[in-house]
Amino acid sequence: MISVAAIAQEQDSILFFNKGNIAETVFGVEEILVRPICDCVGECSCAATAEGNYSENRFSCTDAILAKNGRIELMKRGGFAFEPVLNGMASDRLNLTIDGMKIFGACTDKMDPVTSYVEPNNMKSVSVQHGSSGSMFGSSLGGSINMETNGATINANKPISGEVGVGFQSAALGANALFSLNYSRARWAVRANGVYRKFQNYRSGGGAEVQFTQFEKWNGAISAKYMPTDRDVFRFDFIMDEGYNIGYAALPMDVLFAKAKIYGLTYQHYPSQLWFEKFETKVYANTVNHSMDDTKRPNVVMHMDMPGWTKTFGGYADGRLKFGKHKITVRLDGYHTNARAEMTMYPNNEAPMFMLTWPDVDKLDFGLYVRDDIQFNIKRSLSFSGRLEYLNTSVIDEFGVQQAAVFNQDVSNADHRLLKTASVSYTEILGNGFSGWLTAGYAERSPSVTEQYAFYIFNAYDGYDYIGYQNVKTEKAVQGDLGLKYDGKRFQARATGFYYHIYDYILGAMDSTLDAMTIGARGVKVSRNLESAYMTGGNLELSYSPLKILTLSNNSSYTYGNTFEGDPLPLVPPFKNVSAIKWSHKKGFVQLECESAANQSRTNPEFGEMKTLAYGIMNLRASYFFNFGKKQLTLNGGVENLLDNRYRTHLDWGGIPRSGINGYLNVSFTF
Amino acid sequence: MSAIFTGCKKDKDPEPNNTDGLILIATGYTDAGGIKVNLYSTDSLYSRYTPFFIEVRDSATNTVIEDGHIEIMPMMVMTTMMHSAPFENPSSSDAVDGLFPCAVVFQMPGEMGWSLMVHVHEHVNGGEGEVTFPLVVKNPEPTRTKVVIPVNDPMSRLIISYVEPLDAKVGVNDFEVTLHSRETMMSFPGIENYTVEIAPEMPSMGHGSPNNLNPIHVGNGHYKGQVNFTMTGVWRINLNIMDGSTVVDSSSYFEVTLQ
Repeated sequence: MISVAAIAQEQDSILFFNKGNIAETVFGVEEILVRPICDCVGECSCAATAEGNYSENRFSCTDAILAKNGRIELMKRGGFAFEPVLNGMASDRLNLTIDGMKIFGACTDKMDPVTSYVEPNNMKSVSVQHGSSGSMFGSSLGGSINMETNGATINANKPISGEVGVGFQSAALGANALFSLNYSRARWAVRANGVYRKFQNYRSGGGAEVQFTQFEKWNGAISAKYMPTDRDVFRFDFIMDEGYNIGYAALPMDVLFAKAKIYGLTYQHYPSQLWFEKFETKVYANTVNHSMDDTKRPNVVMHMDMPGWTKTFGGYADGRLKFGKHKITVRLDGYHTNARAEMTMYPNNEAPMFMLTWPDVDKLDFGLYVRDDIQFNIKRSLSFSGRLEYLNTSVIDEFGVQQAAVFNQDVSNADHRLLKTASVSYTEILGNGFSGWLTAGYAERSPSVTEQYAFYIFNAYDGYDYIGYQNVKTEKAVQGDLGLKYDGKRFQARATGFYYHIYDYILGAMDSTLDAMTIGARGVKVSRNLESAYMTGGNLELSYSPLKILTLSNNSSYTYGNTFEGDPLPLVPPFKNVSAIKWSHKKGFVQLECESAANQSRTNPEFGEMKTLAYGIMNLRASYFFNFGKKQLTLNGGVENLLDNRYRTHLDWGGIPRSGINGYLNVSFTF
Repeated sequence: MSAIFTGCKKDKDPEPNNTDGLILIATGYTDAGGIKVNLYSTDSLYSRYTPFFIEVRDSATNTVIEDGHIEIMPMMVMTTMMHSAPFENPSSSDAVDGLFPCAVVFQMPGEMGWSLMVHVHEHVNGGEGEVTFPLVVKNPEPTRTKVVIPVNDPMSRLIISYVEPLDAKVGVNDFEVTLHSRETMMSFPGIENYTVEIAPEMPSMGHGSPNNLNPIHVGNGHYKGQVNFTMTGVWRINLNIMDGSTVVDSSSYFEVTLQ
């Protein structure tokens, strides 16, 4: 346990469902070799105290689970697929990966963050790494969020296991259904799982229906695992996700469909040498096909189609070595991705208007990641990590090259970038239950396809059309992260703080010489580098259990961001607090939560940002288990926004209020 | 063997392939001088800036003659009146690839009435004569020639004709128009000292495009610049024509559809 705590603690992990842990099987092999209890990094623990507590999570969407992390906020544009914001930074500044696989949303309006393509009932854990320390998964400023899927479980003692469940909620008359089934023999196992969700428009506080917040989706996954020997594991995963008729109230268009197919093949080897802990290699491929839709909107001046596609394949190989006090991880990774998005407008009795909003952009990327964790003694450890990444970006459609020429940009030649990331982290167990850590790092990130090549991509928040700039400089950050933790018998506390000084911060700057394309747009913004900006903040998590069955908890978080000129950065969340009181019983629990946020009056006027009022809501949740031998029936239900307050959070686009009072009930049966 | 073969082929096929992509509009013999004249253009004829390519041959041997002085004269004969049109004679007595390039701006369509007189003085045999071809000039869709009443000189006429882009694409396109003034019904000289400003616009959207280059005079009433299109669809290139600081015409435009 100590060594788990001592591993770089700037990594968070949200463990919410740990059935089907591959490590359970590997652990059997590892008993001899004394391997760590599980694959979890950072603060996650593989000891499932009350699995039922996590049952509710399997009915939630992935984004809702991420939001339980004190440093993650959600940017909301409709009723579904919220974009995660980590340390005040949104998806362009983050790595979002599924089992370490790179996957890129295909929507130019960010309607489909990667988190929308994987479902909680197929997830084992989500690991969150802040800033430069997340560079194992790629170069980023804000950090990495890796969603680890369940995979099949080899457990010959229990050939068949699984779960079926249904859930309903009132605010959007939503229905969820899910199942998972694992079949195992001595050396192999397969697992299938699926989710179906259908939600109507939800009702906001006070009862008004929020138009265009409906959605429907299904997600299915198949995983197979084969262990030819006790030291070798082959794993194949396939995930298919399809969403239909997804409303985006804050945007001028909805989504007709969003489809993803994700394939991964993994090989793991656990060598017998003591110094060589693990070798893992993976190849993967995925496609995302996304299409926007305005046919259901009233007063559409001109119908348009906006499809988008990404195709990605890649792979990595990594090894974990151990020499004395050093644990060394080396990873070599690479991927190729293509992004293309089109826009076709159909005026009456005229030729259609076509353009490439993403001009068929190829990215070829290779990275080398090295980490050295040095455990000086039981109390002190130091971790160095570094990443070198080469990225080659090119526009492959001549049409896109011609388009960009209109803006006097020559994008016919490839754009090369070398991205460097370095991080050092020191952890010490101070004694008396206290431990602390300190991380310093430097990170670089490449501009996104939109930032480099957008062609009149309309941003509904600020009302500007965005034009990319191929030669926009690489964004860099110097970053510090620190934390202090107290682990007492009844009282736990964790405080973290971060500071990012960002150089060449990429932001659209208004160009008054350019005409807007979108009807009603306020003007055109072109990607530019701000000299610098900074982002700072932190969170405090407190938990107190005066009785074994009673837990009081309180989580607060705050982020503050400014440009070098002293203007607030756009879309920075205000102070937020979640307090909860939980009464637990071995048959269930009852929890009352109060979530509140301060007002945000620090807005960026050029971004057309609205001020946001403070709000507070209360949620009541309960769960009860019925046991039938080893099988279990779980009921969980509750009422969210008990007082039916009308509110929105600062990151919600378009002034769209969140859901009002919402009762929900989920029933699941695990076997 | 091969020499004989090549020689044989040459005799059988003396046609140069310089007329590939061109359309034979008319063929005729001059009234004197023993000359055959083939009139080519890039397309069938429309009321617009029309490039012609004149091929001159010895009518007896059918040999292509590449050296000669050629003058053209377009004419429109109507019931009550007749008039010519702006035109450009071949700029040299040397043919280019066997053809003499010249041009006419047909300022109006006409199924009947249009003709083109070609006067040839070839320098190989010394023959001289002329031939007149009746022409059918159709109305193009969209309009490619405008005859406008100048704001500053209502008695005169300004003829604006669209030269390119003919195959407009999204991106940067070379843009060219010709400006001619009607001095008399028979004289339409090119205007060399006007200022032309262009403003592309998508009428159904209301937006324009950035970084266009206003056309400037390059000779014979031709003005060349750059027009940018940001997407396919129907575009309108608005023109503002000035003589110094005096507005000549600010209401004309050409429509371009990008497929």
